[in-house]
Parts: sequence; structure tokens; C-alpha cells
Amino acid sequence: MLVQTQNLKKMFGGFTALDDCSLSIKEGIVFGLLGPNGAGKTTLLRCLLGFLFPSSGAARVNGYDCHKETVKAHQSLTYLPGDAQLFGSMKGRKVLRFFSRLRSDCHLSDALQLAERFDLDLGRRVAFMSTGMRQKLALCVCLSTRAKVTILDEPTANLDPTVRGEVIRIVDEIRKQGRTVIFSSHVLSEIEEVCDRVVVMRRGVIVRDLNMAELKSKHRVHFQAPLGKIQVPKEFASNVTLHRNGSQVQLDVSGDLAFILNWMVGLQVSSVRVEPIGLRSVYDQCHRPIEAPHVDLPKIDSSGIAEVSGHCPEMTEVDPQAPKNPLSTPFPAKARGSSAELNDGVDSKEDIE
Amino acid sequence: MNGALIRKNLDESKWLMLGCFMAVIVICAVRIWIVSQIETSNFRQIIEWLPGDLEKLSAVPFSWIITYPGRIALTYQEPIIILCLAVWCIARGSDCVSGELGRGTMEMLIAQPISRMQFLHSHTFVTVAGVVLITLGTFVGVWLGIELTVVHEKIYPTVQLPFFQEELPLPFMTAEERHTPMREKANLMLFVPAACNYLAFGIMLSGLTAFMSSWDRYRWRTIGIITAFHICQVLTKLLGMASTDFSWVLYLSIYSAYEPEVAVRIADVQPESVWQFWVNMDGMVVLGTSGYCSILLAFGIMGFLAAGKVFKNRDLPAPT
Repeated sequence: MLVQTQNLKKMFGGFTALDDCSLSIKEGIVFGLLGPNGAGKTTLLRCLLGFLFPSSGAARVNGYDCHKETVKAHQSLTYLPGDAQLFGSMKGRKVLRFFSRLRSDCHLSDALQLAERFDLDLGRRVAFMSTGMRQKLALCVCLSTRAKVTILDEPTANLDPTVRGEVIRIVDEIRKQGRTVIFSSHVLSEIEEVCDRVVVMRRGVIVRDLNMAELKSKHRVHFQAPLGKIQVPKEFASNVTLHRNGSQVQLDVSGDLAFILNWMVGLQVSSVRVEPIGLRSVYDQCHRPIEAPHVDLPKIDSSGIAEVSGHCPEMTEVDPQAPKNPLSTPFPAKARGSSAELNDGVDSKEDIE
Repeated sequence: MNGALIRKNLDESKWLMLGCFMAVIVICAVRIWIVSQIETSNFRQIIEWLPGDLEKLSAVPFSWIITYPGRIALTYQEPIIILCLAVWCIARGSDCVSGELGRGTMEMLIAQPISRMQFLHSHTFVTVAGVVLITLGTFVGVWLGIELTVVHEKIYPTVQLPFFQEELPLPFMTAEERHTPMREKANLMLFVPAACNYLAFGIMLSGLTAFMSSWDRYRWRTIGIITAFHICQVLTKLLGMASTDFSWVLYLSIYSAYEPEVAVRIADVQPESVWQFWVNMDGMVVLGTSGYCSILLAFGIMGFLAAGKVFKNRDLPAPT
């Protein structure tokens, strides 16, 4: 394995930023790191780079310990930080020349070609470059090496859509050369487009390890069916998960769809919709978004008194002592949507027979 | 060390280095020109009027300070000459870790196949090279001053006192103007020990600043701490010199080892002992030029070693 971590743990005082992280990344793949802010993605990358010393566990790149054999490990990797800062007094061309002198596998001609590809003005001093231009320059530095592992921490942040697409193409080219890319991003579509394997992190822990080829073969089928029990045939029951909410049915199917569509013909279904199960669904399972309180716009009745309706998922009881003027509190006595009402609409998973 | 990093550090600091170098040359030369403009005899009168207690604030006797070598030696105690060196040492010393961290440029550098020690040594090399260049600048300034200036003296006719074997000047008679080149009044080589003391002082300040920078993440805080240290040490030295009751605090001030005028006096008065660690002078055994320089260099080297140790074992936080 090209990159390996064993029970990696990093604590800052009493706060655990990374906990028991064990990973193995093979050559020639694009490995995605996904998670919200503070999930531990950057901490993991910084441990791999030897910037942070782990509280316990170990990390190796190309067989070299990231903390005891840092220079050898760094010969095998190249890194683009999330917020790349370069030397303000240098011009773009000088920055590329400097880094090409710093490592033997970084060629100035490659960096210049990349700069041309990104349409970057190298005659400008870094101090006078915009954030996007700086990011492009850092990408030229990072991607012009022939390192076995390329670590990109949010590489497309601050980039325009053209360059963003170019970066994705370059990542694909690196993969085709048999090199490995570790790609950390918040942009699900990018991860979905480019990664072969994705790890989802939450609060310093790896919560999902996904093979994108498998995920891409999964689909979700929505349809309406008459009330009554739906029985999934045994021969493909292991590939199907069924959720039902009244007449609304949702099937999560892995593998070929042909057999399931044939079966559905006999169910008298209507309003059929098929969609791939994207990374979004998996991500949402790991990180349920906090629902914002919903408040409808006030309606003015004939007497001229405004009436507000709304619901808050966290609010379970209506306060009988609430003031009569509905505008005086954000969620007044005449609020709509208690937890009981919300539960009525929740999907119930049926047994598959 | 790494050639590319040295080039980069030189490139970043060249204007500051050249600025300090030129400034010390000009200031030293101008100061010696001013020395040449005021006759020593005028100072003798002033010193006679000064209260005797003031002499304890000086590391050398006033009677020697008013000589040409003494007055030129005080160039190395000029606040602006010390400031030029301090600006260089603090600016470069604070930049090495907390400066790069604060700017966010550390990540791209340390992610390359270079060790942290290579990074630090390359920085230290340029800082020390700057200290050497600025010291050289002071020496060049002193050399220019000594070579280019001429002392204008008024020599009054004298009369020999019959019984006292002394000559008494006759100020009411017409004086003879005499122009003597400064090089005949002060030998340039007398100031080599002072320059060495200045160099050691720069290395001490750079080492301590690098140490502060190695554990910090904010450059402004490093500069603040080292400036406060500088002020406290100067005040401690002044307190120790001003009061005999507090003379022991001189041992607490690293600045007690920065005495360029003492080094010049030893070279002037006891040239045979100029490079000795201990010197027997005025009936007392005191530290010599080597003693002063060794103490300062020891602190500087310890600072750089501690900086290396701290930097090698610390976490590098993400830029804020």
C-alpha cells in the first residue's frame, strides 16, 4: 500500500481531532476525503505530511514513516494546502523556478506548461495576485512534480469553472499515469466525478468507506403503488431495500435494474422515477443537516391582524401561556408542526419477503 | 542547508541587509568626523565639571574616554548602531518560524523534501551572514572615518615651569593651528575587538530571537517578547551600574557582556592582553575581549540549538 495509517489519533489538549484512523490507499487511484468543517480531514492530511505529530498510531507514505523519515516520505508526495500562500515578493515565474530547484522531480518546463493551461500571468508578483491566481500558481507548483502521491486539500476552492474542470482533468491524467491522488473537498459533485474511493469523516472518525464504482451501480426507484404489502421476490431481495410511506414507495437497488423493472410491471405502479444513489444520500446519512426553523410569511386577515404559522423541529410542545399577539414570538401558540405531526410523515421500513 | 532556500532568504532580506550595512558605514564615518571636529581638550574641561559619581555609569574611566580612541570606541555604543543590528537580528530571527507560519508560506516549503533542520539552518546562515556584513559595515565606517578625517588642533605656546617640570599653556597668545590625520591619533586595529564584541552581540540576539520564533506562531508576538527582553536587559544593566547595592544584577543582564569600549581600552592600554579571557586591569581581574565574546556567542549558539530542538518537535498549525 502506498499510504497507510494505523490507529492514528491526534488530540489538541482535551479535544480529539482525529480518532483511531486506519487507512490503506493503493497506487493509481483517486482517493476522496469528505466531511464538513472540523471533521478531521485536514488534520489527517497534516499528520500524513508530518506537520502534526500524532498522539498515537503511525502513518507511512511509500513505506516511509511520515514523522521519522519525513524527507524520504516527502520525496514521494506533493501537497497543495487548502489556503495556499506563496512568497509575496516573488513573481509567478520565480516561484515556479524556486520550487523546481527545491526538488529534483519538479520540472520548470512542466510547471510553465501548466501555467499556460491555467492561463496564468506569471509576470505578476504574488502579492498582487488574486486568491484564484495564487491558487492556480500553487497548483502549478504542486502538479508539476512526478511524486507518487498528490495530496490536494480543497484544490478547486476559489477557482473559476473553466480551471476547475481543468484541475479535474489533470487529476484524471495523474490517475492514468498510475499515481495516487488524495483529494479532499466539500464539493460532492467533484468527489463523485473524480474519485475511485471515498472516505466520509465525522468528528475525527471515519464513518464510511465507499467504493465509487459500487455506489454508481446503485439506484433509487420512486413510485406510487396501491396500499397493501409489497413482496420483493427472493431471488433479488438481497439487492433491494424497500421504504414505504403510504402509497409512496422507495426502492434502493444495487446492480442491474432490468430485473426490478420487469417485476414492477406487475405491481400496477404509477409515477415511476429512477435516480442514481449519489454521494449526497450517503453524505446526508452521515451528516444529517440541522433543519432550520420554518416560518411562513404572515397572512393578514380581514381584521388586519397578522397570523403567523410555522414549525420548528426542535419544538415539541406549545406553550399555553404564550402571548396572544402572534408576532411577539417567532413560534407562537398557533404554531403548526409539532414533533408528533412530523413523525407521521417519517418513512417506515418494511420487511422484505 | 539548502542552496535554493538560502537564495530565497537572501532575496527576501537583501534590501534590509543592504540598508543596515550602508547605514552603519555612514553613521560610523560621520560620527568619527564629528569626533575630529571637537578637540579632546574641550572634553577635559567638561569632565572636570561632572560629578565623580557619574563615572560609575561608564565601564571605562572618563580620562580614557576623552582620548580619540575612547571617543571612537563609543561609536559601538551609539543607540542607532545597536538599533541597526537589532533591527536585522529581530526581523530575520523572528521570520524563521513564526514569520513563515504567520504568512502561511511554511506549508508549501515544509511539504517539499527538505528537513526542518535544513530549513532552519538555511535561515540561520543568512541571518548570521547579515550580522557579519553589518559588523563589517561598522568596521568599514570606522576605517573610512579614520582615513578620511583630519583633527584640527590649536596648540598654544607654553612656558616651562622651573621647579615642577611641567609645561603651562599660554591661552592669551596666538595659537598655532595644527592638522593631524585621525590615523595618527587612533590606530584602526584597536577597534577589531570592539567589532568582534558587536558581532557576538548580534549572534546572541539572533539566536534568542530564533528560539522565540521557533515555538511561536505569531511574528508580532515574537518581536514583542524579544523587544521587551531587550529593554529589560538594558534597564537591568543600568540599574546594576547606577547603584552599588544592586551591582549584583549586572550578572542577570546578558548586556553586561557587551562592552566594546572596554575591549578597545584593553587593546589601547594593554595590547598584550587584548584577546585574553581574563585581564588584570587597574588592579582588578576583569573579563577580557574573549570573555565577553564567549558569553555572548554561547547564548547565541544555545538559542539556535534550542530553536532547532523546539522546531523539530513541534506541531505546525494551519495558517489562521
